[in-house]
Amino acid sequence: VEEASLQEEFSRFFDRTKAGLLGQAYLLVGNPEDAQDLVQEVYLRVWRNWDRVSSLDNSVAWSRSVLHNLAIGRWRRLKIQRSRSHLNSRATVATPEVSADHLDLISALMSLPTIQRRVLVLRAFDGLSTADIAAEIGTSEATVRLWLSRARASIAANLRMKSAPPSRKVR
Amino acid sequence: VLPEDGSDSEIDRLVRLAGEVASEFAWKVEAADVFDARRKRSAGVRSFRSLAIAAFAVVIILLLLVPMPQFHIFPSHGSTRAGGAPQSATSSTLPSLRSDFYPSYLARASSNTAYVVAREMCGGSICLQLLLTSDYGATFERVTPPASQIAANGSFEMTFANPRDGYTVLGPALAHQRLIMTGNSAKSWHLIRFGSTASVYQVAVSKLFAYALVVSCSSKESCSKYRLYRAGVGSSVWVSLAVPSSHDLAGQQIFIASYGDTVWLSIGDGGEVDVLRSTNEGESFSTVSRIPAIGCKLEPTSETVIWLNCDTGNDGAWFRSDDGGHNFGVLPLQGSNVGALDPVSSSIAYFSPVTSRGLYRTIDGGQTFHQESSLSLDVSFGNLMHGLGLVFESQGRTELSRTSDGGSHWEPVRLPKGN
Repeated sequence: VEEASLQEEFSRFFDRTKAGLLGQAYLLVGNPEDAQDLVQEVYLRVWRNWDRVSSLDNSVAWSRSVLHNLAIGRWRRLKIQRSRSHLNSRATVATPEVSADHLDLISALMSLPTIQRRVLVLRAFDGLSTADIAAEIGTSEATVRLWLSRARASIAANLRMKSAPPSRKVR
Repeated sequence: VLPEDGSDSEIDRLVRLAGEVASEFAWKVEAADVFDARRKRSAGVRSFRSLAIAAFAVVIILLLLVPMPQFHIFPSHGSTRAGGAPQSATSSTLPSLRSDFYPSYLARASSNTAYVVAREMCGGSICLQLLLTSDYGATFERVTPPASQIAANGSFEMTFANPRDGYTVLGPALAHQRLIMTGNSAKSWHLIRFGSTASVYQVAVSKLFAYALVVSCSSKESCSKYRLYRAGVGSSVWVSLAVPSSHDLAGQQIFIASYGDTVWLSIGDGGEVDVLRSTNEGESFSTVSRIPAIGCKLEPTSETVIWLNCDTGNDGAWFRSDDGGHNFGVLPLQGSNVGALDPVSSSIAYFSPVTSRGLYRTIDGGQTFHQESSLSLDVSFGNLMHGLGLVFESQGRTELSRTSDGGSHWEPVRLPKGN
């Protein structure tokens, strides 16, 4: 009975956070299949530690941190886990046809250093304030602002470069 | 995508929108899978620990009892590889297209990808071969057909949600139609089973979902009890949905089509066709309009624009709606008798009359049609300019052609021939 109750509680948390974590994971790793694997792994860890996570003030932030940590070393970690886990084989994610602009933006995001990408996603997608981001990743607000500024500048430069018309040939 | 003013808020908005795009993906992450994986992983860890302890004990016993053996760290030549994936046919292992095969069916998969079905009579049935082009006719590769043979008078419908995921309904008669799907660009196909008496009437796909209209048949002629099934594109898990209770579907002319989250059904009772629409992925339907025809094939190009190709008995009739199916306007093609409509977008469509020659195109949403070619052909356009066409020749033969100027000029496509 207690297990069923815990599962129900976790399922509610899962439904509430799934879309946000999947969106974040996608922005962090740049492709749906890896994002799906990551989020599956995050929820496995959340469920494994549910008695502790459920009592936290901000269990969403805890899940988000697990996601970010896994994303940093995702190849190394997931390869090991997949080789010995009983997770389903890597499932493909059906996606609607996305625009070239969308792909350009994802590509620009992937070209950012990991920490810059993380703060930009937390700011732009999660809507966290610089103070909240600083608290979540354990740094100062000034540093967060610096990383944000660099991330935005890199993306703007990257997109301008892609949208610039090709130079004319001079005869 | 370039921020107009390069401002921070503009960059943030673009990142947020990119993340929101992910909500449209067909994710396969479920809480039940987490519980299941956790149970299996725990069991695996326990088994691994037990095995490790047992192995350690065995090694200790062996070390105590037997003289030290000579260990080989690296495997010798000829060792077998465990856990190999099952083999499937690839283009390199398929025979070349025999010269007596001729192209007969086009299936568009994306703006630059199409599949061409080639067929030929072999004995009392029809042999199939399948070709894939990823550059709309410039080059082709051989892929595996969903079946090597089909019945001569049987049905065959092939549709693709994207270049990778495709569905084919085929069978000798309504009572025996089967759904076969591929998830790897037709390298291999597998049968979808809905029950021992179930026959697949039709399938429709959007970018996200596939829908199968299935009917139970107690005998060759007696089919009733329609069911609608839905699966994520590429998924083998089909969810059963109820068909609209407002209509008795047995013996009616039914067509199903989908775009995004919206599904349409057209149900013809012999005199009028009811168009039904679902905006919740097939969970429920409501009748949105009625068309004076026997049956209407639905061709949505967005969630609001639908083109209809209707059979009125002796003639054909063509309609277009730009409000999701509530209202339909008649297209100015009445004198063309019967023909095929190939909508490319909400404003562009091609029309090929069957009883006369010519290819006609509209670029203004069907208000006017202009003749683009005098050839008699069936077409499948990937975009405004690039298309493939089956040019009808004498004795029922066809030749595959391609255009890159919107249908004004067609050049024959050389398919790989061989024995």
